[in-house]
Amino acid sequence: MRSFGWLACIAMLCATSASAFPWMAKHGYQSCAACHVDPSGGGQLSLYGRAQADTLLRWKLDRPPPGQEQDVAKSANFLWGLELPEALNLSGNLRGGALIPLGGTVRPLVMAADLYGTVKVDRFVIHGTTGLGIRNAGLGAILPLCTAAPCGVQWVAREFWAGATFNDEAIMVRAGRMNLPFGLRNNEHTSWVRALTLTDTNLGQQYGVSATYNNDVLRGEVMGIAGNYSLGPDKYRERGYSAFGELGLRSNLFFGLSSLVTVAQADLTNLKPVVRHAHGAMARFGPTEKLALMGEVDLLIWQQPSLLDRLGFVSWLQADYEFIQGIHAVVSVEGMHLGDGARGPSLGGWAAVAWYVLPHVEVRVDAIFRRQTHPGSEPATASATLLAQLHLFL
Amino acid sequence: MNLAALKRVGLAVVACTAVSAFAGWSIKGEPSITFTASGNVGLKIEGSTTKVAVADDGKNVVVSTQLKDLDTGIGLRNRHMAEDIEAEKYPEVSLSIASDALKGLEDGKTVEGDGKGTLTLHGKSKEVTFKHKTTCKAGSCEVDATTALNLKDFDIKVRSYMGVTVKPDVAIRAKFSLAK
Repeated sequence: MRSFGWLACIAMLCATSASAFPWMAKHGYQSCAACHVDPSGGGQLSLYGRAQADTLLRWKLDRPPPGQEQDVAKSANFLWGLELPEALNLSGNLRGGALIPLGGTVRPLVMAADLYGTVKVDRFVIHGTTGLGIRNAGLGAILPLCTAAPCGVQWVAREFWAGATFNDEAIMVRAGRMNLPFGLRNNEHTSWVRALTLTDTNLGQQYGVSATYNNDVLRGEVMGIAGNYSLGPDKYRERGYSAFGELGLRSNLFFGLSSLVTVAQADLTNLKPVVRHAHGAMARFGPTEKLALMGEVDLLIWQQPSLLDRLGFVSWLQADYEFIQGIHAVVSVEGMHLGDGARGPSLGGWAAVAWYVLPHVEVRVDAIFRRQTHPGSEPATASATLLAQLHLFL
Repeated sequence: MNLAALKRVGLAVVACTAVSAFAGWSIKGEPSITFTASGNVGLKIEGSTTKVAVADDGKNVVVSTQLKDLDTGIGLRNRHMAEDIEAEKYPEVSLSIASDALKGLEDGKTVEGDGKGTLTLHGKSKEVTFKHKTTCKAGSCEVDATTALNLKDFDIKVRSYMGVTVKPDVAIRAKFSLAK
């Protein structure tokens, strides 16, 4: 039985996910499917996504005059230049850095060390990730079993699924271990909006079957959740659905709704049966070529027999400003309440700078401030943490 | 990137020009002509130009723009589009409308309906239909026109770029003012 150790892992900054950039909407990319293997975004880039990363993401000192733009550099390929057969897409996600709490001890982190592989033949797609989780791989870990953190080195396989596309790739049906379709797929995976809905792209994958739709104004996905089989025994596994739909109101304005309901025989925190709901709205807006605004707010409900139903919320608002191509300043605010009797909501703020300094290389520093309220008479607690990261997306 | 998308841009510009029915008039302010194309996997591409010329030889009003002025917001994509449209060989896209077709326009009136014109792109000419709403007052006319084109009708090849293919159907919208 490996149950409670995982819970501790969830709450820790064990790893950040691969890149997911909802702010690409400001370039007219509402749909994530052109650039990502996962049609709802995040994780491995498609060949087209690699080209976009080199063209739109990477910092460049000299920019060619109009009409003289060069084709995508070979350095955009896997391992900075390796040519692969068209059907095979290999890449990786290596992220390391340090967590520096205010007044605390600096903690080195290896946040992700994953390899990605995708084979696409005609309409059929097979995708998998594998790697090592160091210390707290949490719900993404396959082996060895671990019941209490820290768990040492583990084999991690966050995603593996097979699918097929239809209707000129507008529809994909797939089955396997996948990210849950819900809300903004932002890469601040420890943001409350991802952590409390259990939909982050680092640890939140579940087994199931999904159908995704993408056209030029509408995108969405519905997933039937069969549970996370890295978690045991079975009574802890959540089953239900998760879904989102997003409509392009204008070429730079998108609005979406998400819904998730799961049932488990035992909640990881209090062992009682639980029906967990998350229902919310999200929006993305690119008012200028340099600025992207994104927001999400979700209603959270926990229904448990013999306990009062809990009603809470979680919210996230982010502004991403690209000073020059490849250098972003990102400011985010977040709020949440767990409906647990705490006096007032918990509030947080993030300030980050991300520099896509070289092909496949991102340097990022986040300052995270949080004031969390607690039930009863326990006073609120405040924290300030600096997170410095070096990210290689091969 | 989406080379094919670029092509659509050119077409869009042309369609918008439906406005041209106003002989002796010139463009006032900044016109806006946009085109929208879509691709597989949910791709959407928008391009635009604000450089539009109007010429009137007494029989036809011709609205035109230079394909090199079309901008999709991504330089490399613009270059690919220009290559696919063969913008160096065929630098202009134009819409020609018979002057007689728009005689009903009067100050203080709004005219709404369909129109026809001849679109020339990539060395090919084809009759196209457009919808427009034209409001004239105080000596100037505001025009809002839309049309749809298929790149294949103009022998423009739609190519795939790294697994992404732009569809040949392109929607075009033009908004501008004309004044004497």
